[in-house]
Amino acid sequence: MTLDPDIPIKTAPEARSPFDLLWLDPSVMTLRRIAGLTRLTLDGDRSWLRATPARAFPISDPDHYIGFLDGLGNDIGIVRDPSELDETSRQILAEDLEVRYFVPVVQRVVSVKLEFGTVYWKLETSRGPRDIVVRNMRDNLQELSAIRVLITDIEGNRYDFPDINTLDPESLGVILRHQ
Amino acid sequence: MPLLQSTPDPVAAALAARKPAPSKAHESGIDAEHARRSIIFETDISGGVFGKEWLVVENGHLYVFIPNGGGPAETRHALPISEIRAARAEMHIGNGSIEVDTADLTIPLVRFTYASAAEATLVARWIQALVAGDDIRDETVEPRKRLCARCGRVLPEGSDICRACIDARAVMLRLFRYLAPHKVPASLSVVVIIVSAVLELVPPWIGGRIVDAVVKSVRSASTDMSQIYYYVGIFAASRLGMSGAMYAQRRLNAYLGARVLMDIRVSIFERLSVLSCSYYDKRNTASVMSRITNDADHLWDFLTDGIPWFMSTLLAIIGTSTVLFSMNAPLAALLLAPGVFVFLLNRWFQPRAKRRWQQVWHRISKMYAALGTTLTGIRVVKAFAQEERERERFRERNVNVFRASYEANALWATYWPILGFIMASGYLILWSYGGYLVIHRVMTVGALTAFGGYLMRFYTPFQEFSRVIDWSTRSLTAAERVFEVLDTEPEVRGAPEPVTPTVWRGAVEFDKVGFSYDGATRVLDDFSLSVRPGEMIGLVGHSGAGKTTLINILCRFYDVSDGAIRIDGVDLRDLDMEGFRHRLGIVPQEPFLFPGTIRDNIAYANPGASVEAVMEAAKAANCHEFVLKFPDGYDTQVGERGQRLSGGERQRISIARAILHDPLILILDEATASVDTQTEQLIQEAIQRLIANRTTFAIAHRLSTLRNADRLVVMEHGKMVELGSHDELMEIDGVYAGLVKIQTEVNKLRAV
Repeated sequence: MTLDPDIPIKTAPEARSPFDLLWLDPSVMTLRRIAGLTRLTLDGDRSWLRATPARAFPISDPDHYIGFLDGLGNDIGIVRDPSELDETSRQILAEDLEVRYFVPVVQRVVSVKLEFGTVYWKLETSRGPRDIVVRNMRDNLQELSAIRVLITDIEGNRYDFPDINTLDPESLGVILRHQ
Repeated sequence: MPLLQSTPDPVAAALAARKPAPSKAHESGIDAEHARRSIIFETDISGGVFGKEWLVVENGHLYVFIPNGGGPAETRHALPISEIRAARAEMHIGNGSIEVDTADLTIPLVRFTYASAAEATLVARWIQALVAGDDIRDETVEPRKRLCARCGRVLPEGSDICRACIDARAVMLRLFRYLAPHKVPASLSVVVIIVSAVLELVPPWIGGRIVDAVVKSVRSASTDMSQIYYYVGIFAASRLGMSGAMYAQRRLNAYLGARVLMDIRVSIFERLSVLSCSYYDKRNTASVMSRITNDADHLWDFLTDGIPWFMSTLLAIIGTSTVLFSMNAPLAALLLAPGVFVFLLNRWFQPRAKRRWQQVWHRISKMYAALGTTLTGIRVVKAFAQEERERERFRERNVNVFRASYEANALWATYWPILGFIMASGYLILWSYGGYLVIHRVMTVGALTAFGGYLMRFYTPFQEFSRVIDWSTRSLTAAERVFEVLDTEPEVRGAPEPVTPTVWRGAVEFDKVGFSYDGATRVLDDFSLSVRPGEMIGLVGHSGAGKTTLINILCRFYDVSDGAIRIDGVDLRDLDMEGFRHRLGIVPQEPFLFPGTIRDNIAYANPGASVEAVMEAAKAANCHEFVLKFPDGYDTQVGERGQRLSGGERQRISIARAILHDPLILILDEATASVDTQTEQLIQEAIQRLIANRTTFAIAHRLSTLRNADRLVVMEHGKMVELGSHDELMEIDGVYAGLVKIQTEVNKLRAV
């Protein structure tokens, strides 16, 4: 992902209209843990308690463009590249993102069984082993690209299959048949 | 189930370690008390990966335990309930967490996936209730993943029927019971099938006899044709008989299938019309409709084609094998071998072909969907000059369809040659071994010819039998789904001995009414209100505050969960429903017009009303003028393909319908939500005339429309928060006054 250096970074909130995005400058912004909550401080004087990070592109570019919402769900601003934050802030951001996003990435399909239109998967994922049941694959399969799919199980949890071509032929068959 | 009834061993061990063991004498009493007050919630995320943790509330304390190998669980948190200020379940993406606030800290306790979200929300609410000193309500959550009690497989959505556990015999018997009223055609049909199966055996046999007769005549140099004419006569008679039987069979099946289907459809619809609204809430209309359309169609296939086909195929196999084995048993046995291969080939081929064709159909439907979207949005496509990209997208979908259908059809390329070869190998066996038998005078040439004639008839059932399993499963499932509807009992039932009030006056009393749609979330709580006959009540509140729910339970679309609603002193559940609904009128938010004329629609609740009464109601509802302007006046067709009416016009027809119905209790559900200010004026006037002398409940977002209400009920989160006239509520300067201020501001903006 290339960042556009031509967009000026505005940090003076009073100078902008409520309809402009506020680009947060990582060099003047810190995240700290206060009483179990995350406090976002800008320029050393403005701060928000209970700041929540949200990825603008959780699927296509999860590591850039992290937006922040305050406790009431109002937009604070957005960071282009969080890797420029200080060490502690990066750590807190990583923890908060880990808690907010729980979409296991499938590493291996142990077994797959199709019975009466319901698919029973036994998976090894980035979040540990899990058995899931998917009813009506067609409606619960989301094609993100030619090789990547998201599958929603019967309980509403989503599972990321990053590259279906690395799957065993049987699993690949089940997915292709419903694409 | 994330909410546990019994304490898991590691947790029990950890709890035991925390407190001295209770003395034996008190144990049972304490346990009973604990069982009532304790919560054990098992999560499915631990340390950022799938795993168990336990949130336990016991003895006025809240604990979080995490597994510690096989030993007693490790305690991560132990908090007295008295230190907790608030508890909540926060939903994130793919997971959520239960958090509590203490005086100076927010503590995330446990995380859970969507699989336990409903239970987690309930647990958070329970903790909140404990913090507030309230009792825990005995609530349960409907799990999203319901398993078959017998085999543990996941049950289909909105159904309790496991497709693996269907009792095929019982379903078949019940299906056949629908044939009972049609005994004569049904037994006739069976007779005809048997007759035609027997007649089918005649032609090859005759063929054989003719060949033998010819051979005999040639050998003896006789020119006598009489025997040949005799056989040709039999042949002609049997063919004629077969045609007759086929004619009779087709007609009988067509009649029986259609007739039984009609009976089934009628009984499904009868049941559907009786079922309560809650039945429809849990299912979407399309899935309910498919019971009458798709499932019934599968049954039609089964009854008209399936059963007769099955019977005649079975008879054909028995008949052909009997004849072949009686003519020459060893040859018949040898000929069975290719039949087995035909069967195996189909067992292998059918599921593969089915899967590929499903893929083809799926891709075709995706292509059509893309086409539909693009053509609907063609103005946008052209305005942004994206034709090229849309062409490319459509091409791509077409390439997918092409690939799938090529693969599916290519499979046939493998199938037919193999099948052809196997079938032909039957003739190889027949001619080599049969020829040997003829030459050695064991069999006649005629018998060999007859064998040849029977051979294909012998193999066809093998080819088709593998389809039977698939097809019978589908029909049985369809039958089960139909019977499931027929067996559903309505939740709202009429009273066994309906009571009619001595006088219908229109007094309505809500007595501590509580209601929940799903048994978990309470949408109405402790609602009490006494309404005098003829009074107008305005219901005010944000969407989701419980206004529509209040209307739904007043109409008795649902029964209250707690408390009671009394009409003129009689509990709604004991009331004579028909009498009550005749005195109830509704003007819904989205007026619903049935296909038919305007006159039919106004007179929907009173089909016997005179045309004069219809016109008077229309005049009172401010529709008379616009109806007269239509070329067809009151005879104008509305609904699906009829005259297009504006939202305001439809609404006024709906009001006319209510005026003609002349109800004692009237419900106005956002009657002016979707119309412009001028039309609203017309509708308001109509409503004014409508509400005179009726007990009226009106919901409105535009508060100005409620200015004539005697009393306003302000609702928030299922509770009544304010009650009084407009002036009284403005005086209090509470929620209502706030809403009025906001609307005045907005109206000012609009005016600018």
